Amino acid sequence: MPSLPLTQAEEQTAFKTIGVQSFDDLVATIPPKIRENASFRLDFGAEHSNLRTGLTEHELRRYFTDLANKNRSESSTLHFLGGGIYDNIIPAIVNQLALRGEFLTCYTPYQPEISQGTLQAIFEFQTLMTRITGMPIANASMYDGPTATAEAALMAQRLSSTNQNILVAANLSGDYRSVIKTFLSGQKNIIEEVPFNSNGLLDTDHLTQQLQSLNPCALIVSFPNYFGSLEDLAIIKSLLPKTCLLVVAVPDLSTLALFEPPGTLGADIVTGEAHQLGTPMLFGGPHVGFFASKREYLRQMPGRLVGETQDNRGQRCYTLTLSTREQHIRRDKATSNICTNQGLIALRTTIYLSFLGKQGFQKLGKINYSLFNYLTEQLQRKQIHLKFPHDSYYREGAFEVPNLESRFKRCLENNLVPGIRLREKFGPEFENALLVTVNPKHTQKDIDFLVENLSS
Amino acid sequence: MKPINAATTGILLREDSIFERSSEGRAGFDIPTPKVPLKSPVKYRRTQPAALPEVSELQVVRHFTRLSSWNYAIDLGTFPLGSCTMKYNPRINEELASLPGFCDIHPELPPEFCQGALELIYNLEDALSKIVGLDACTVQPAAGALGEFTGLTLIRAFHEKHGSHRKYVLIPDSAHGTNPASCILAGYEAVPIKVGPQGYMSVESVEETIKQHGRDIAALMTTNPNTLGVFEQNISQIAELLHGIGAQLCMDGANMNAILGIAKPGDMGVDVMQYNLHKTFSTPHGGGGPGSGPVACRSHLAPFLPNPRVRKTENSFTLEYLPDSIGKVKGAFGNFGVMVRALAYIMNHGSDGLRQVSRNAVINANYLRARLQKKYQLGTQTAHFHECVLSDSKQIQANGVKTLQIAKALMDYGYHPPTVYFPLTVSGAMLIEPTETESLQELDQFAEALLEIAERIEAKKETFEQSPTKTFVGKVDEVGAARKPILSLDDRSI
Amino acid sequence: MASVPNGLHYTKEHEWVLMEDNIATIGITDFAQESLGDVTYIQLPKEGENITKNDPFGVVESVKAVSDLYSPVTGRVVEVNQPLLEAPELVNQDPYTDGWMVKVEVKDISDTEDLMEAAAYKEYIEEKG
Repeated sequence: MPSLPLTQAEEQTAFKTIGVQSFDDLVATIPPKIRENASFRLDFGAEHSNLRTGLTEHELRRYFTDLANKNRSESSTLHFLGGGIYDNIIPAIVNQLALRGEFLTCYTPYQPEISQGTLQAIFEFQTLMTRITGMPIANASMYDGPTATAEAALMAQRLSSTNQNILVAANLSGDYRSVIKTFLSGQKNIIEEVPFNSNGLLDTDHLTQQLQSLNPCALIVSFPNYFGSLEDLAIIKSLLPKTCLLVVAVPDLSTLALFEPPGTLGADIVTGEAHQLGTPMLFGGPHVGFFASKREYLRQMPGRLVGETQDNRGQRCYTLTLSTREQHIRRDKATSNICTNQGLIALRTTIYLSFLGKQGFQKLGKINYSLFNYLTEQLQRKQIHLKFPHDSYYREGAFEVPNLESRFKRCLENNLVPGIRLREKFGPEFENALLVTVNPKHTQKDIDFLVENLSS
Repeated sequence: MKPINAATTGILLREDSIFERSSEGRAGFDIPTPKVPLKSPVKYRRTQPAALPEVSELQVVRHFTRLSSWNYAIDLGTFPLGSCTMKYNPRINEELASLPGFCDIHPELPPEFCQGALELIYNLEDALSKIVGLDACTVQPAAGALGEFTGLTLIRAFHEKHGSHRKYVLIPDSAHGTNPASCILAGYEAVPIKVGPQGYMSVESVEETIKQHGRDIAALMTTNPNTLGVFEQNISQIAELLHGIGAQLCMDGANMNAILGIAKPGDMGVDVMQYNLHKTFSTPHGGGGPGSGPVACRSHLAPFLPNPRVRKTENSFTLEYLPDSIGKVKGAFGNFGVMVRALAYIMNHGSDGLRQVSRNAVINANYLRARLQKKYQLGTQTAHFHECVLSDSKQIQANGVKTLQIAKALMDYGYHPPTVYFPLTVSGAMLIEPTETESLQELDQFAEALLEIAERIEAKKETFEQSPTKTFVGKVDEVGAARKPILSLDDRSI
Repeated sequence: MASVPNGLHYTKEHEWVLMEDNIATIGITDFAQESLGDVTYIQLPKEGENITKNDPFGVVESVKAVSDLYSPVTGRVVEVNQPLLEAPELVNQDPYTDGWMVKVEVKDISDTEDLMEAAAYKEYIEEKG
């Protein structure tokens, strides 16, 4: 096996140096009953049943290519999927640079003298995240948008010595809501959902009541919400008492290319997903969460942080800092149990955003916005309307499609996935609701094809 | 033999932040402009565009290439970081994980449009269950720590389903730092179990704690082999004790690289455990992630696994939602890209090959231990598996040189240092995990470097106070960084 | 050798207390600052807050370690060493003077009775090595 260099002769040399007769002597501390039963059988279909000797590189390539071809990827099937995970055009240099062995095969930069590349890249990632979200500080990344948002809820609880209840917008993505609930399931607190009104936006009257009855330490809202519309963050913030933090989840960071960032609208913590800026959909991961907050909450922030400093030669350099917040030192008092982060994906985001640049980022937002605008107009001509008609959409929206079931099926037959059906996620009132999302790969022709297939 | 691949100097280029290469108005990557009317929003419109850099393609390429050259990496040399399993990962995995059929698929595709992905998840969960002799597996957790939390949350769901509200999780004091943190997050209080000088848990210490806390104990969480690289040889008796009071045995599988095909946690009485795919089954660490932390369990915990579950029917793969599920622990299906690499790695090796992986990992660690114990004090006399732990006591005695200096000195010899000051139970610990992918020649070179450092200390020639000297930057002022945190470019002026 | 001035009371968690009438001045010992290394951050209660004997009342951090501060007395915080919050290195430079942390109006002055005197504390830290 090419990855295992030890030859049989070398094995003997090693045994001699170690002072044992055989391998069994090395593992003699394992009780024999356990050792004798340790073999296992691997089966991968008829062709590779009881796989004892591994496949060669070429055989692997064939097996996995066959497997990959059983999926309808974006190159073969037009899709209008989104809802927190988005398709995008990725420049060639992102893969080329991120696959460099020095980035790919290094470790968490605990030894700053030999990890300056990763450290500086993360420092630039932190800078990008603060500038895009409008917040003063951001960490080195989180697993993904949902886990980052769940960590924000935990952080709000740490900041509040008395009240531990959390309010979550019911129009936040189901994945986000479910992950938040699981993360908080070990704590003694109430998590309540804030319902949405007939516009699909947060019901502020209901929110006011819940604020009174629950006295929560945080309200988690989505910007935009799962139905694609932008909430009025300034108004929401104005309703909250001082003790309740406004946590804004931004499932699509590109939203902030066009719209006022939550940081300038009063948010206390801003979290969300950044994979769509440089990393493919990958069936949902690995992606990268971002986590930004007000500076006063620095000590309670989860995840890693890179700081700038100097070396003993007086040169500017970088190091992991404030690591006493982390699990390996604080153990049961840590701010979070996170150990691994998403270094490589954060690097991809940094490369992508650097190359896209200030103008490119604005153009990205504008193109998404314009494509969705065109889509809405064309669908409306065919009597397919937005379920929640108002004027604050970015790049996706829920449409009422008559006879959705049969039309959806026909789309699939024509090799088109028109969107996400919302019935399973939001109940019978969403029987005919379809969440349709555009992305920069779409052309006018693609949208016309969708409209044609959805409308007859 | 003399260490030959000592660090030397070459052309390394300085580079400011990418923002400092920026010129107002310079265009970067171009996105195609669609043939639809271009519009901008009126409501909530951003007034100040985000200040991203404005740089050309070559500027970006140079910037990140220069940055990369300041990193140490497995591709450059031995990376003996204990408990992290920095093995070489076959590059074919990267090629396979970047196939468009895996990269460019959305998790909300109807199941009939993503059969390949579901088959891959199903096969991987099946293989991961069999390798450890357990009944079911979820690949959803994004990393080891999230896997630990998932395992403990399954245990809590199980107890609560049976009307039992327990308080404590027992954790040996040699455990990974993530263990106590995961415990708190899962709603339990951590009770430490003392590990004696022999380096593993005694039956008596667990018995004693059980006497004290009885049925308030939800589980015991252990790493096996543990963080000293020592096998918990009393594990089966400990499992029996726990099961006797209805408690569960939870295993941190961070060190699975030591026992593939050599011992199955299922046979040790383990009820639930988490893997670290990025350690054992090959995903490059990438500067700290991504990883993946699947959880395998016995059938009594399976009804609580995160939703959705991938099921195999006669001719297709479908999704099932369990009514008693703990919910989701990560968006979508987990870190799918890491799963592709893991399955490729498992199939690349086969069951015999995986056994060989652990066998060679154990031989390599013991070979280093045998060579190094001539000059360094061992952290424990008990047999080591895939890693060995040394202490700095001889070097302190000889010339007051501590582990930190030895670690920094190793950099000038061209190596990444071992894990230092962990486990906490050994003073001045150096935890060395060479992994199976290092050749005997490389191990000899590494040993020579460490032995030469010890000799120089003994001869009182060096204290390595100023080390490292050959690295791109010198000793870093971490105190200054923590006292006045500069966490983004815009903090410089504060 | 860490300095242990006479006239102060000491805790097992390495805090010192100076009692003047019913006002207790609290800080950490020379031994504590030495074992922590360069202190980078200190978190203290606000003026007016009540603190309880043997309960944590603050946090002191260095690059590699973090410790809770345990209160040797029960009472109300009447003064906080503000300059120390800005310059935590004062704890390293001068743990017994400029490095003091809080002044507490003590409810029960017998709180310090079970604490160690200088000689006993000296012995205690020598044992700890």
